[in-house]
Amino acid sequence: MTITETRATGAALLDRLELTKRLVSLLRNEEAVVGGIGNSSFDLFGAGHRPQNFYMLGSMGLAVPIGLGIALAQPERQVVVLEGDGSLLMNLGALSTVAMVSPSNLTIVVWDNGVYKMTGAQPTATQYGSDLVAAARAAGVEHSLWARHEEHFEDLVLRALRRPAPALIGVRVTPAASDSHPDFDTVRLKYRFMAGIGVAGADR
Amino acid sequence: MAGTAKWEDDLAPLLNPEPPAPARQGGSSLGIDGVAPAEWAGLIVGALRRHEVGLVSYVPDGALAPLIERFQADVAVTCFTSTREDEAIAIAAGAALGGLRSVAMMQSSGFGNVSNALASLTTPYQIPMVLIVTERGILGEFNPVQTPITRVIRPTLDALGIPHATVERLDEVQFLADRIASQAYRTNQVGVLILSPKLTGGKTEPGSASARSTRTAA
Repeated sequence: MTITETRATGAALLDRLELTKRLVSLLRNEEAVVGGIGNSSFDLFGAGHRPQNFYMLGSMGLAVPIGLGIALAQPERQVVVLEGDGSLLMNLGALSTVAMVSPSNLTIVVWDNGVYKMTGAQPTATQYGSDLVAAARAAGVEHSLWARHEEHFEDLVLRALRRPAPALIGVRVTPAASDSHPDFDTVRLKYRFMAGIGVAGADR
Repeated sequence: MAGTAKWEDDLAPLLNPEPPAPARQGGSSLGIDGVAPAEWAGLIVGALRRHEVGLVSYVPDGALAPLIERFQADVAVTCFTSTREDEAIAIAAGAALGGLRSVAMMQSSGFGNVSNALASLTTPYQIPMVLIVTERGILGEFNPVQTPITRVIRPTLDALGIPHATVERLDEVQFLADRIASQAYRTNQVGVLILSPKLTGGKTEPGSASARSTRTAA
């Protein structure tokens, strides 16, 4: 049996770095942003470092639960998770946990490029019909939508930040690589983030 | 008459039901100075609350039930299930980054799902938390699939440089819980409490743990 790619055609694939920049430009309240493994983090850094960015460099599948934990620890602060499709597929159960806990301050953005880019662009299951937005909705994250174009993405982000419920925004993006990356000093990354989100004693 | 006596005998259990067995997992007798089986759980929760733990995420085990009940009853603690043990660790890690001390709980078999969360997240980023792992695969285990993974726990933690203490007796619960938590939160490490069946009773028969509360009067 031949597996054929069934990735949705129609809307042009969007640019992850461009949309990361647009998202960052919409943040006005020191929102925490968690960059997932690989290019999600790299483009977050490439969009301009913010003290409230956490770059997760090695724990595939765990960006969403990390974001959930931050959201629960700081209920007054909006938290945005930037995750890739391959990484999210590794831990779809986390979407159910998010829906169950239903924090009011968590937004998940999935950059769906259809490949495991960092390891040679092997296709992920989303190239064969797996729909991560539908998966999120089925998991109970009611506010889950595909962004159709740049302005729609911005609109969804603004709505998600204001809505007291978890949301997931899916974006089909090109399989472009990232040109930048944060330094890999994980302890420093931790303290800069914790200081950026106001945790006492973290400003070393 | 013989027939009537037999009918009444058959009816007797319905008229005078046995009181339900205490809902202690596994049915082993701890016999530790006659202490109520769940007192160890109160001591652990008390120690962790003194260290300001405010979030607990877990994949349940029957032996964890007394801890789960107490954490869920504590209004100062957010306590909920996770779909996977590494997810529980990541939730606890995120909470720690946000300034909230946290705990992740799991059964020994669940420890098999956490290597990368410990190796690539909590260790390099130096994120503190307490892990509570209830131990199966020893002292009366009936299911051979539970035995190998338990053997992996301590060597894995040792390889990663993560301190751990195995809690076996009621008289050491408070000290070990307090010191493991203290070291974890003060040195930005994970600290692990491994709860032996000697403490919890463990699980010696297949089937579900009772859902009845194991909490006893203070």
